[in-house]
Amino acid sequence: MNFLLEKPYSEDEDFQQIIHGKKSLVVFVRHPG
Amino acid sequence: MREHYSQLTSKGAHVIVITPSGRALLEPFIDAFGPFPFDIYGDPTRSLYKSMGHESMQKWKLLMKAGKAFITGGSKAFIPDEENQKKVVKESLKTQDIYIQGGSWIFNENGEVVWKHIDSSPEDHASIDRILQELLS
Repeated sequence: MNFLLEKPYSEDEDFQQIIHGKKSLVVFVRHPG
Repeated sequence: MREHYSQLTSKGAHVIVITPSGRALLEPFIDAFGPFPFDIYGDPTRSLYKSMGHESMQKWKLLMKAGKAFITGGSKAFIPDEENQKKVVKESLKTQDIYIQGGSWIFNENGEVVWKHIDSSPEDHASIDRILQELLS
């Protein structure tokens, strides 16, 4: 399943593509601010 | 996160932050609070959050915690002084899903989960030391 994420001032990106090929620390936050 | 970014990347990790908000809130947020050394993404439908097991805290529990923080710290516990930051935070509290819980995940180069911590409450974060330890293993 693909998850498109909104990137500020940029195009949407697929989550799997973002983390593909690199060790990644992904931090989910509750809300900005 | 911002303060520990160099420590985290020194362990070879690519660091990204995901928020339950869309571009419409994230752009003014970055203008007010940025710049950030890592990429920030929005998942306004929370579909990724939910698929990975992040749950919304019960409203009454969160409101009780917020009330306690307000009593001990006043509005400064939530609202910054700087005008642009204050505007973004107020908008965020008013319009965003503030009940969904966060967490930290480490993926290997193949996109497989090697470690995770899903927060059960706002104060239940994985410590930076724990994350650094997991990045080394």
